Amino acid sequence: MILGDLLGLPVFGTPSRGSAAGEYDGGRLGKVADARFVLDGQPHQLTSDARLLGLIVSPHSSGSFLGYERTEVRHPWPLPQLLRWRHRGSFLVLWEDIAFIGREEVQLRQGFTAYSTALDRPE
Amino acid sequence: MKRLLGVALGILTAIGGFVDIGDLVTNAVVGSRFGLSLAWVVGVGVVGICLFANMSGRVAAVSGRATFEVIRERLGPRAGLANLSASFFINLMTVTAEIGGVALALQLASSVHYLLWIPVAAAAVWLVIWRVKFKIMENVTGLLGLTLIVFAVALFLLKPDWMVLAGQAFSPSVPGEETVSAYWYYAIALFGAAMTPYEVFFFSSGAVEEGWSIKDLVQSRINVLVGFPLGGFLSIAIAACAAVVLLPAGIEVTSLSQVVLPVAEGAGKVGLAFVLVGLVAATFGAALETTLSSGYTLAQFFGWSWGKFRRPAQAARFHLAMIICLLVGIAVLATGVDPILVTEYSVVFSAIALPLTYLPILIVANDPQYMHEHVNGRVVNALAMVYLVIILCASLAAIPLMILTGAGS
Amino acid sequence: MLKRQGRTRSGNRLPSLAALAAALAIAVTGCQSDPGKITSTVDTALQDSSSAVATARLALELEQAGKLTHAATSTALDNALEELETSRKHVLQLAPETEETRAQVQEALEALDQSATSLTTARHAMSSTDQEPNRQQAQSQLDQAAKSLEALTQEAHQ
Repeated sequence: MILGDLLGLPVFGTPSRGSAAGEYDGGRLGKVADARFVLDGQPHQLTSDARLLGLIVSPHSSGSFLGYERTEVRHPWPLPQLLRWRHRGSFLVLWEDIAFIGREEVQLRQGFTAYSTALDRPE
Repeated sequence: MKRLLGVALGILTAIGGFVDIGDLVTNAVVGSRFGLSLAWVVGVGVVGICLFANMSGRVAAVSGRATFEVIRERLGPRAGLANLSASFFINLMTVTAEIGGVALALQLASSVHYLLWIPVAAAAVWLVIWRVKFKIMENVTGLLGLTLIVFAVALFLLKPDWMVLAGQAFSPSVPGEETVSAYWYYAIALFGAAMTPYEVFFFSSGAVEEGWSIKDLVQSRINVLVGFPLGGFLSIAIAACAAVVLLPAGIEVTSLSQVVLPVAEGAGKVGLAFVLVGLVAATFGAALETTLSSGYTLAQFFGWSWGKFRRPAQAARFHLAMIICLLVGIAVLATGVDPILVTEYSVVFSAIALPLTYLPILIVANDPQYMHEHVNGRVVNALAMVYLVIILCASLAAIPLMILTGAGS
Repeated sequence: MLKRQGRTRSGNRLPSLAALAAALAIAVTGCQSDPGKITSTVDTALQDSSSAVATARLALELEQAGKLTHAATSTALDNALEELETSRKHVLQLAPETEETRAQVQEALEALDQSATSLTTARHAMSSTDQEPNRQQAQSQLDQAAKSLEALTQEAHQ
């Protein structure tokens, strides 16, 4: 499976132990909109190896953020506002919180942590 | 001196892009049917292309990335691919139209049927792309294309009633025998012809080909601000010539041979000679630009090595893609489809695809990671947003108007 | 750097592309069959033809004044004849049902034939080596054709 197949897959929570089969805890959470990497692997001459930090799940759209996940990019009005509104309620789940990735769907672990998708400028 | 030469890039893109087969035909058609009552659209188009070409040149100079690399990076693979398909399709249509335009211009000069000129024109385009240096290519076609100024000279020699022309241009109204929807359909066609996306693909890739850096930003601005208004001026002169000679005679332009009649009337055989050289140079230059743009967009999206600054063997896929594009263009024209018709459709489809090209440029020009301190200023952003709305309206209205007017007939 | 955030429910995207395609298909197939088709086809054909004849007249005039080259004049005449042929084909393809429309189509065809003949004369005048037919003859035939076309157009607009 390549990363391109992952984008746009629906994301579900995990069924809780007591509920009937097929019923999901929290149901459908959204779609995979992006994958986030950090450069903290083996260091090389120019950069380090990239490591998959987690997936961005967006409830209303699997489209791109067009770079507006970075809070420092604020122009031109009203594009950032529109894009952030389109991706309202989106969150980042860490790789550790993903239960499994199937052909048709992604399932998250019970009690996963939803992090903000915003990227602030490092101090 | 060096700066003066540098302006040549702007002039080439202005003439090949502003005055290519699309502008020649659309402006002449509009002039012969609506007089100068649509000249304001050319003005709107000139400001728009100045704004966005300047932006894409700045992005290329600062980040070293051409427009389609930016589109690929910012839109991601899926939206980027959709964008590529649309842009590439329209570009291919424009390549076809330009090669047809070269052939039609050669027919006018020789009376040998244009279908026989098509393989010759396409082979010449391929040879130049394969062998000739970028700098020489742009300067030669740019300078020869300037002979189209003869449209403006002929307009003076025709001694038109300037007040009537100014009246049409500055208080525009729909002529009695035309419908309002046809008026707006041609407004969109003119806008699409002025703001054709390949112009920015070519302009930004050309900046990378020539190795621009931040130092060259001033020059880039001069190129745009001299080159494009000159192209717009020529466009209006073409429309005015048609408005003065063809409109009163009841001639609606449907072929290139009609476009040159006003020049012959105003400036005789000498004028005709100039206009024929200009037609061949402008359409040939535009054929080079659009063919290169097909290669640029494909290579930049798929991450192939590209550019005329590399030897063809080092950018094999880039060159192969362009050969295939030329062959497809020849095949389409060989069916006998009217190149003028292809041209008319290509400018309208360009208008439809405009937002796909200009939105990503605007976003990246605001991105400090690419642009550092050279991000857009407030005024540029405000203007660009106004244009984005205009572009979006034109794009959405194009197909309904095309159906409503039967493609303007 | 990372902040906790509440979870939200998901929404569905609309298949707007399919709707657009359907609307286009309906519009494209539906735009060919209005009742006034005969009148409008004849009208367009007459208009295009008078534009073609006017082009030929202007080109011939410029050529006689020494302002237009032989090659450019021939090309303009060829293009005009092509345009006329296209118009004629469109009128020939019509299937008039009433007496009135039959007469209308018949009249239009006569004018178009006259125009085609005059254009052919003009082309022959350009290619002849013995001045037969000469350009004056071609010019006067074109003038006649232009008059007939104009008369028909005027009639249609009354």
